[in-house]
Amino acid sequence: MEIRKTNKNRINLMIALLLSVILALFMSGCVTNPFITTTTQDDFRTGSQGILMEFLTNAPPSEIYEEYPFQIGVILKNTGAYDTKNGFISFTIEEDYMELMNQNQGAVSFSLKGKSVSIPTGDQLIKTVNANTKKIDEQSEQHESTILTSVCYQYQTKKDVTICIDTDVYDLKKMQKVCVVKDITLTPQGAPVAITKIESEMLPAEDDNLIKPAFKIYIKNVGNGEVIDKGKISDICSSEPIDYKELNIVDIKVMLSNEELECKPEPLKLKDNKDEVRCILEKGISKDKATYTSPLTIELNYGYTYSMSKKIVIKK
Amino acid sequence: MRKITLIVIIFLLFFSFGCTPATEETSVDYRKGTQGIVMNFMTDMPPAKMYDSMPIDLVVEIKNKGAYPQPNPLTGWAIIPKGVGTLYLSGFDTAFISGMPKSMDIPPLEGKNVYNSEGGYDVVSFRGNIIDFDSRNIDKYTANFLVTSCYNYQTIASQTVCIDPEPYSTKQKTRVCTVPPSYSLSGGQGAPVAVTKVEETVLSNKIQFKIYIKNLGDGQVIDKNRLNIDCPYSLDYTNLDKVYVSGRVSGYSLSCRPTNPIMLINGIGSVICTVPKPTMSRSAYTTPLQVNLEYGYSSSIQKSVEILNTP
Repeated sequence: MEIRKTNKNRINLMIALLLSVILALFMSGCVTNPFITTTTQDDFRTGSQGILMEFLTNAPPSEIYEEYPFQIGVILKNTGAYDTKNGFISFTIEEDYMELMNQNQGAVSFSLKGKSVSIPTGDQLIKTVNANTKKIDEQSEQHESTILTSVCYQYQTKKDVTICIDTDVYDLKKMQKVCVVKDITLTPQGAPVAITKIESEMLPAEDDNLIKPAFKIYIKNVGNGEVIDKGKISDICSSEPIDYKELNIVDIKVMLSNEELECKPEPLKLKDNKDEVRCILEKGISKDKATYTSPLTIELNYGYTYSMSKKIVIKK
Repeated sequence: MRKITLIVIIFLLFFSFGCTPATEETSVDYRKGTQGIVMNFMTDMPPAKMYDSMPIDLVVEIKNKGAYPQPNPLTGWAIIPKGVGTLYLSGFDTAFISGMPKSMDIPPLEGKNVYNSEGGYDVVSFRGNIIDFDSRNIDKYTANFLVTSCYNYQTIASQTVCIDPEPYSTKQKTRVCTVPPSYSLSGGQGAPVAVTKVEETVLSNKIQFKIYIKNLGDGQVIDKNRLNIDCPYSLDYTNLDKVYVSGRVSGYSLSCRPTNPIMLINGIGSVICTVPKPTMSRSAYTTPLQVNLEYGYSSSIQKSVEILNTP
């Protein structure tokens, strides 16, 4: 009995010693803690969705009786990496068969924070409106109606890439280069509009001592909705008429180091949900500098909308 | 017993003070190898991943793995010329990393010698600050740091050659040596540029040496007279691959063609040097041929650092 107790004590002592050694190693920084990984905002810039919307279960119900109150509820999830403010959600019903209890609830505003270090999954909220079914036709036993919900919001796509500024395009200088100019293919950046590819080129300038970095940036709508003018989001989620000029508009801002590039066309108008923009640093960079890497920051600002519908059966 | 202890203590003292006769010095051929000034980044200086708004240190270890400069034979001190070379830092965006010096002098480092078989060693530190990334609205930036050295260096190659005024003589006489087809010098002479082969030809009134030169290091040979002007940002074919050759044999200075500087093509070059032929009456003898090569040299090291916006 005594021997068994001593053995147990020894094992406990050894485990404690082992744990102390491991702890000391972690604390000394000699061993990297595999459970701790550094996360930055860039790690959240993944995925091809912005704000996702789903109907709540049984709100609205699939079947309902005439002249009966019910709720229309949606859950909004910001699955992208950008905070949206003053977004709108609108509810459209067949007015002959249903009515919203409060007419002002036709378009409801919302704000939602995107994915970030503090909210890794992105923020979400629930919006509900109260509605009533109206009396259906005398001759009908039931009527199938559709409830349409649309969401309109401002969103942003942002991407930093480290690009190569090659000041010696023709390799006349016999100095080692830290990088080579190459095309960069990208995956979606946590937003419904994505930068898919960047082509870099170092163009000659009028001044022989300068080069002009130029970039062709490919942009694509990778979400399940439509790109809209960011200044017209409230109009689009309302009964206001929409002009085709208000669709597919993307504002673009490109910075190379701390210089803003001149981009054409600006704003960009997507055709078939995609387009490309050419940006150039007109000021140029001196050829006297050695080849170096520099951050290229691309920001796309736009409005986005998408809709979903649910069929309900109104019974007598 | 006390006496024995005392004797043992005295012996120990002798050993510890080095009063025992010196053991035979091991002869180290310090004029071997194909390296000159060698650089490397000190481990984790800088680390591979860093955050913004913090200082950044690039610490470069510099070793003189070659055999230049050498100690003065009288004083034993290395004659280290001032301004032997410079380290240049480039490859990153100065708008994001501020305060980094663009260049620093290479500290004086003696070459490998009988007193210092490892060669000189020193460290150079480049310190700067990473700016706040939030102010520039960026999440991450990969900075590539390129450190390029530009320095003057010399190669001294020594080869025992056979001087035979009458190599084709049919007279029967005892020769201490015969002129071989070529002398091969392998392994370098403690410098990045080396003499790799010497071919000797006895002509009617002079002795000719064809000296083969090769860049065996991992860098570029630069005209020593353009080193401080063009290296490293304006190097092109006009200032690259140029070596100045001189030498002596049997008390005569070598007279070489083409004239200095000698151009290396694809890192290889050759020069034909002559000395007057000794009188015919003299029999064959051996003597050292010393060839001096003077040049500028440049090599680079690079390190990539991913800088992240502090979450």
